[in-house]
Amino acid sequence: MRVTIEMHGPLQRYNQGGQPRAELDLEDNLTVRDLLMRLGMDMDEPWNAALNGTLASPSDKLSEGSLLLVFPPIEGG
Amino acid sequence: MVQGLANRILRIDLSSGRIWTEEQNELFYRRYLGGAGILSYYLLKELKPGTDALSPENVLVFAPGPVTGTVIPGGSRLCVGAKSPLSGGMAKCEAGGFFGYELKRAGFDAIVVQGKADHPVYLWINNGEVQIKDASHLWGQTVLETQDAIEAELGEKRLRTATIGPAGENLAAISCIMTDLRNAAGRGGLGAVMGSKNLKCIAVKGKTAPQAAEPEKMRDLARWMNTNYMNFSIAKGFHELGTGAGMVSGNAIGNLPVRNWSDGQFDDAAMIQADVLRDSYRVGMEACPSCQIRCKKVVALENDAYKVDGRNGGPEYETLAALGSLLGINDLAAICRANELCSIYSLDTISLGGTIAFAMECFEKGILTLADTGGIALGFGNADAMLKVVELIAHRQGIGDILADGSRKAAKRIGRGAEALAMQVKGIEFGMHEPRLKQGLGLIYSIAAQGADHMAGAHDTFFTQEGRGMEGVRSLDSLDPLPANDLSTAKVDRVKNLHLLRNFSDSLVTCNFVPWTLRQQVDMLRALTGWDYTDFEAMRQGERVTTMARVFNLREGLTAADDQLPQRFFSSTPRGALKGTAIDPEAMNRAKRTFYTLMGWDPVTGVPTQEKLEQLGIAWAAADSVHA
Repeated sequence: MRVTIEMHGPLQRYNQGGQPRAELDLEDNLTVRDLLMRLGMDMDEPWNAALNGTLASPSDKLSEGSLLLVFPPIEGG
Repeated sequence: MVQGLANRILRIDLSSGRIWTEEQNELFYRRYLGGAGILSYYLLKELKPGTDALSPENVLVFAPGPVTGTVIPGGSRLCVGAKSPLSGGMAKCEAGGFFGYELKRAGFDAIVVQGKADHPVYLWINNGEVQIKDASHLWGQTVLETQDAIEAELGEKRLRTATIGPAGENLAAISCIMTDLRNAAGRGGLGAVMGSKNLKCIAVKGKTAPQAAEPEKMRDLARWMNTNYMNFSIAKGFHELGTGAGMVSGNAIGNLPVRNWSDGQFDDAAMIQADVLRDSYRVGMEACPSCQIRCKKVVALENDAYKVDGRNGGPEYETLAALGSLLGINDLAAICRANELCSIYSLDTISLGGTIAFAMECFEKGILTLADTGGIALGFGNADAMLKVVELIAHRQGIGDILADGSRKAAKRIGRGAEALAMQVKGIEFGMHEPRLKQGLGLIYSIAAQGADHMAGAHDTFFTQEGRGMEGVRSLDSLDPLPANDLSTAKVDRVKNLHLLRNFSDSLVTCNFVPWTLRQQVDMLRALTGWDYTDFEAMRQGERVTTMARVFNLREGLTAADDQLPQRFFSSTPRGALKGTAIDPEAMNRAKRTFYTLMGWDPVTGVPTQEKLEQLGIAWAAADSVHA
């Protein structure tokens, strides 16, 4: 399956080549957590993800054409 | 005498011109610490119930905390508060910069201002010496002009100041107090309180560092944070971009408010994001004393339409959203200009944005017309209209005279269905975080004494999955990740304890952007004072402050009915990530009752029980009217 991933802010360093956006060819049945671990992300870091436009949980499954955004939680300022 | 504190509170009566200092005993400081604790104490002790917020009898408190003025990163802030002209309850907010830091070093743990000068004045606090000086010639000047004029007059450079501009002078209920030109004690209309006292500015210079009981331990804590903060991705993000890096991601999960909270998607979120600002108008980053995170953006620009002076700072996330997506505006230069106008006129960017968003929706629905706005086409997305209305509000001209009092009062004056469009709790417009997404924060928006303040509690999305985000709640015996929209008893308990922790931090006073743990904050207080202070006392302090603020509001006539979100949040957005998601009103009501119960307040009325007040050592605070 083909999946697009965007990594925001300091988490961008985990994307391939430090790019903000990448398109990846992946095998089926991967979860959000599986993909992030494969990218070498420190899963201990606080992060949120939006999968196809809604807040995702680590166990959500990716599918053909999925758009995954990963970013630090947003608080104040 | 408590080690590490100034042990003096500065009292000013502007009506009589009397200046004196007050010395409190060690028990006072251990019970109330500083910041929000000292604020709550003086408001309850010295303000008669029912006092008009803009009368001389209101009490305006500037309270640094015990760690303010020390080497601790994030320990430069102060809490500012009074009775709010916007809510009628307690206004409480924190501001950064150097003002609190130097106030403590000038030898004061707080300033308590009462009365009203018979002409405009400013205070000059120079290393413990205090003078009331004439400010007649400064009245009407902007915050920046005032700073320059006072520095020239006193022959001082880099004065640290708390100042109001024309919005505060004109008693705009959404005005704020600016510290050091570009930091705001923003919420609750404190600029109007200062203006009502004819107090234009407090200028301070202080050079006496607090003497900690164990200075090496203080330095160890500071060294640890300065060495490790980049290991915290959020602090690292603040260091690189400041706040506002999450516009696109916030939009993706539904956190970003759009068009007065009526829409769920802002297609131009990427145009107002902090990285775009970095690559366009940002000319630097600034820090508060002792802090290496340096999260404060400085912007400067000059184009055909706008000119922005870097001395007036730059927009934070709240401002980018409040004057951007909330208004449907994607013009980053215009947002920077509006932010500058707020700095020089002393307007709270959040309440300003919330109020203009309300007016824009009224205009689009025909509730306000061109005749009402003086010919301004006040529709969503109109940046020029936004800038014109900011000017009108600051100077209370035309439609600005109505909007200067915030959305709740404006809606009452306008009528014709406008009240349903005022997005506020207790008259305080919302911080820029969606309660339909972060429902625990929605509960805090409802209950917090200071109204819909996004800094009053932690945000649900930090604790939805395992990882370092959970570290912030494990020490509070809250062990399981919980969904952002959860309102179970476990969630309410977590949200309540985080609110108490925040009120402890606001008493200390530490910055929320510096990732100190509860234990580290307790350690810094122990090292500073030499006390055997414990985590238990810290949480009890948070509970005390929360309950004191509750008692104050009840005394002023607020009730559980004021702990209410606007109806809009109980239905879904028409599009975007939260399409199909709303807050369940029954679940929210249950959560409120649970919160009251866990606080030792009556589960229906939210009135603290006598036993709870006695337990917290504040039985003195219960006016008869509270328990009637």
